[in-house]
Amino acid sequence: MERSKQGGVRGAPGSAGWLAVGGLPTALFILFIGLPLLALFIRGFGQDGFWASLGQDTVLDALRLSFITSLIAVAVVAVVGTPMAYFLARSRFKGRGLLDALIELPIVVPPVVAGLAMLMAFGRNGLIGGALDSIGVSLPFTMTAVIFAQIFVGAPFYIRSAKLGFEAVDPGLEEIAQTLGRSPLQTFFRVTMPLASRAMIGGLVLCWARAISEFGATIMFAGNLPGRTQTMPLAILSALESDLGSALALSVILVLISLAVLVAVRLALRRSWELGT
Amino acid sequence: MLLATVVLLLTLLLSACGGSGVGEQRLTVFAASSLTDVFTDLAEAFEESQGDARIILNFAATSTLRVQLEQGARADVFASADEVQMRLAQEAGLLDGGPVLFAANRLAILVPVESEKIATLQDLGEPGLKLVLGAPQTPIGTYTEGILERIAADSDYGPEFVQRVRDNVVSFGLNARQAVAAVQLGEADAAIAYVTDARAGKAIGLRAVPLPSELAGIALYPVAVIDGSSAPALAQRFLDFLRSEKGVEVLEKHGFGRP
Repeated sequence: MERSKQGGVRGAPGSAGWLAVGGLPTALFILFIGLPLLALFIRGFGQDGFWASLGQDTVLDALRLSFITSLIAVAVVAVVGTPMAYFLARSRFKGRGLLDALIELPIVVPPVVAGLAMLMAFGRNGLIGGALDSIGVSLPFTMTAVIFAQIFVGAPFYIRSAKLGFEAVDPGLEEIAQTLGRSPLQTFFRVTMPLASRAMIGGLVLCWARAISEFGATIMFAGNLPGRTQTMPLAILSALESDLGSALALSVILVLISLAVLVAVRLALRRSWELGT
Repeated sequence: MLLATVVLLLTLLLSACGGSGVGEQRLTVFAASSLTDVFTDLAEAFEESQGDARIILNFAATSTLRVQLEQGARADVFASADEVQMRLAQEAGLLDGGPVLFAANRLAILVPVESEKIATLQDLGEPGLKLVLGAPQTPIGTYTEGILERIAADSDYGPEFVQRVRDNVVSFGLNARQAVAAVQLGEADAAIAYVTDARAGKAIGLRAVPLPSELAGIALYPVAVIDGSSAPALAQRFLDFLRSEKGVEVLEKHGFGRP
């Protein structure tokens, strides 16, 4: 700890050299990200109808729909993705690399393609859509389709992150817990999960962020109907058709809420980090 | 290896972008999505007639294009699917000179060729039918709203019928082509769109069920040169070409009428 008192050894993080190397790119990047957002806020708040547009039915509907669907999507991903991530982290078998790649594929597939693919599978003329239709299930243009699209594009972010988290947990610790009489399930919830919790929560936040910003797959697979499938991003693009003002207002709201969630999760994480583990 | 691949890709990309010939004049045309096929043909014919001109086409909902132009997008020609959006563009000072009408279109109920669900307008009110309309505020949405209002006022149909039609709407396409795409994909049963969009359907054939003509109304397409165009003379020649014999021939081939 001598180093930090002296203000850093030459070449070590925190020294003047590092500041020049790391500081300039950081400043440039902050400008790059910050300037458009700042412009959005200035123009958005500058609109005459900013506060009025908040109270519009379509805005409230879109906000509500965005939150309900993205939260359901995240819940489904957590329930299905956690055991899956654990399984992938702990097992070695032929073709695991291929499976990993398949799971991460939705990250690189353009969302519109994802939506089209879902239509080809679950649509009325889709691969299994006909069978679904015959038992009275029709997915396209429904809220379920919105959630499907969000899961499709968001799940890989969680599974990937949780898997890395589980891999970092020493299997020896799990063995010790089990020799001490814990059941495998107890071991998982009491030992493994707390140790991987940061990776899991980080992954869930990314998954939620991807779900709430989802556009391409949604408009393709779920359509664009206010109150039923029109989430915030769709409402923003629809508003753009009529006037820039309300599109800006909607954008500002979405950015502010997303920012609030990200900050809240970070604060909660830091708190739990200081308290526990 | 990876680095070499990246560099190679970048080089290819850059050379593809900078491939304009010497003395070639470029004309950027912003056009309504319903003009996609006809303007692709028209641009080709115009390029042939000019020799050294190249047309860059950008299709989207007219209202989206108008907003993009207002925000400073560079273009030379703006072809709108309705006079409302063109007037808004004119009021925003975007135009160089006044707009001229160059084409007319009609709205109809577009259904898959083999579909027997819809024979007349009356069938649009059948419960459970999946209908797609153009988003409100886009030209196609504005025309559709006008039609629905006329239907509601018509004693043969009335407001209850229109309400049943509205209840059948499953999605609003962000432009005319997107509304039609849902029917082409087989997910929706019908869309209210331009008759010309039925001809554009290549993947799944569409057919137009006509609306009663006193209710359907007519869609008029104005075009104008954009203020600050880098090639105003060429832009004007393109406008003239649209209304020339050859231009009208191409428009009519795609189902558009004279204004």
